[in-house]
Amino acid sequence: MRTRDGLWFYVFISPWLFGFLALTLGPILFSIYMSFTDWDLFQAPHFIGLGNYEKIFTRDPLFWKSVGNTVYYAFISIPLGMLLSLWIAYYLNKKLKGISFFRVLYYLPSVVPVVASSLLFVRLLAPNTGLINKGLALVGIDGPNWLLDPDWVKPALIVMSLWGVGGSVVLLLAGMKGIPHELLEAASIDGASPRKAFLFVTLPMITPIIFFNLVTGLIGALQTFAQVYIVTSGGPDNASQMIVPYLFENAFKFYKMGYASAIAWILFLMILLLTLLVFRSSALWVYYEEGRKHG
Amino acid sequence: MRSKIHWIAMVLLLVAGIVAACGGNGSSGGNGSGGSSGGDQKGGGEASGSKPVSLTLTMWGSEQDKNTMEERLAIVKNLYPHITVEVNLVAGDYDQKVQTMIAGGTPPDIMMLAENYQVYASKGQIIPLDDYIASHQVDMDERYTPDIANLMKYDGKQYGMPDRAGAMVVYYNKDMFDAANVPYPKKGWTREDFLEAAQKLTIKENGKIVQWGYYPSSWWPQWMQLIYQNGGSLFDESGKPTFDTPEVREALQFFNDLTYKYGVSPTPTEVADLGNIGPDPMFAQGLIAMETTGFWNIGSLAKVEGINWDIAPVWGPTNAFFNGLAITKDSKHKEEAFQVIEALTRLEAQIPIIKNGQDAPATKPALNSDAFLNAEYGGRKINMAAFSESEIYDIPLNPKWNEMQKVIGDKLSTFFNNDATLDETVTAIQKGLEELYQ
Repeated sequence: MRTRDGLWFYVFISPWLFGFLALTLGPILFSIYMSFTDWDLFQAPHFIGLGNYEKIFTRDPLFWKSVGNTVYYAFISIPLGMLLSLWIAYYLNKKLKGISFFRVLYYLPSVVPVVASSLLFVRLLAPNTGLINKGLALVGIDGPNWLLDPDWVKPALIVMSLWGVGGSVVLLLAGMKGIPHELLEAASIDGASPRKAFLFVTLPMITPIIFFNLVTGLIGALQTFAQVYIVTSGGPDNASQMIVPYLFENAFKFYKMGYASAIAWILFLMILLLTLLVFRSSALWVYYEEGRKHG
Repeated sequence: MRSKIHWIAMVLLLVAGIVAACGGNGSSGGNGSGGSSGGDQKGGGEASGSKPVSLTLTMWGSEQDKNTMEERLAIVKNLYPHITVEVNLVAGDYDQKVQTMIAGGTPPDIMMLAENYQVYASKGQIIPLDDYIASHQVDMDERYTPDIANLMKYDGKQYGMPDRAGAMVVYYNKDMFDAANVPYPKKGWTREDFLEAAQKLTIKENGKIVQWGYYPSSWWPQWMQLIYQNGGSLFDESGKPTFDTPEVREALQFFNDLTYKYGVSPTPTEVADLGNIGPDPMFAQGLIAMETTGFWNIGSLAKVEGINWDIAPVWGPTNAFFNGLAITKDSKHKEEAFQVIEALTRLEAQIPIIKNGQDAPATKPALNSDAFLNAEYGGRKINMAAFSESEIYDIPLNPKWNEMQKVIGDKLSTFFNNDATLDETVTAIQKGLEELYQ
């Protein structure tokens, strides 16, 4: 019986498996090899050993600048985004008339293609005519020159990322809806205030979703591309340059495919390491109702 | 039992992995054996003595650009009935697509190329045409002015036949010039004349500028032309970077002075406030009195109503925007490919470029033809002589062009925002270029 099940498993997964093995794994393995060559897309690659890695680690300040920018962006935009989405989800979970309208409203930005929202933000972030600075002016704040100022361009991209929290809001909302009513009822009978009920019942119950949002958010933020490419092109003077646009530039503008492959592998290892860390830490803070399966 | 299935799965995985890896190797080799079947087996039908040959030509542009190319190829077909050329219009990233074709073993025979033809030439992907030019007795001096022929020379060899090439010209708003009582720009005017006009054409209302004299944007031809007009250059004869020189410094200072000293150009902040639009829409919207850009803007402006404009040569040597036709190393029919590009650059095959209002043609006979000089755009006659009257400097094209642009552009953007001094900027760029070209 188990054998048959196992066989069907492989039959059903084979289309994906085939696609992965033939179309994804091949290029992935190929790129490992390429990262040890000077391939320029035109001529046959020459094996140069660790040359690319040596250059990245010792002689490429721009790479490290883009790593710094990416980390800055990820480490601020992810926590902020998680807090904001939790906050919004909490209120969208209230039973109010017309609440579904607001649920749609908050999700809507996630449906807008990133190119469109990027162009929108170029307008919103304009120094004097942009809505954001006009809004700040109303409360007496002289808004910065967002996209032109090396100190403010990364915060500008973070603001942009917060606009798209709708996706994680929906997941959190679904998680909150899935909490058995008895638990909250029991808490309120025991005299827990709404705040305590949220902190000690709701929050632990949705930690698996927070965990999921954290992992996908981390990977997404470290791979940021379109916003940078469209809104700032990495400027001014690389103040908003990030790893993936830098990699793209090397591969397709400077024809350094070997070098770009090496960058891609370093990025992969970075993401792997951070994701593993998050996974490891999850034992400490993620709660599974059915108990933790050790394995 | 379970372990057996695992075992089968492992084998499957390995086999697939090997298959995938082989695929990878094949595509990397470029001249691998599998790829030679190419596009040359399409029987051309009407044989006229010579064996029918089918070629591919890659180009970028619009559907209309493709139609024009096909119209021109029909003229070529009259000369060489046995050669059929299939046009492959690449949408999206041209370089990426063509590189993939080359790597995949199905290279085009003829490629349209612009500035970065030097990359292809330096990597041996396109061939020098000098031998073909000699054997076909093409008189290059008759076909091109030296500035234009030079555009496609790399290492002293001709790597492409320039096909379309227009100088950067000044677009000026006649009504604004009339209102400010400023004479129109014309051949022989100077940078001083230009500045004086720009100052008179900048209009302030209630302390706010409502019309600027000129807006260049930070696009490379704009600052680069000022450097070369000023006697500066990016490299000396031996190819050493010469960015930190008085000529370059003065030119860049002038560029920033237009904005921050004379106030005749909008600041980056003002441009961002306008929604980050470029000079072309600003000119069309009547926000600026002058801009410098290429031929293509004629077509755009012809569609704009209520604006009275014309063109004139720039106040000194300027850039040319060009593209040309080159032959790939892996083409199986280089002789025929040359016949095609030679025929495409004859006067009769250049005429559709003019007739369809596409671009300025590259060849001397076409630039001086009545068809070009009297061409009308949107029912308007324009001073088309501006193109042949323009002087073109020797653009410092080189295989590291894109990287060079980044080294310079990164620092200039801060300078143009007035966030860095001229001295910091110039020394940083010189250092960056020296590292890049060491």
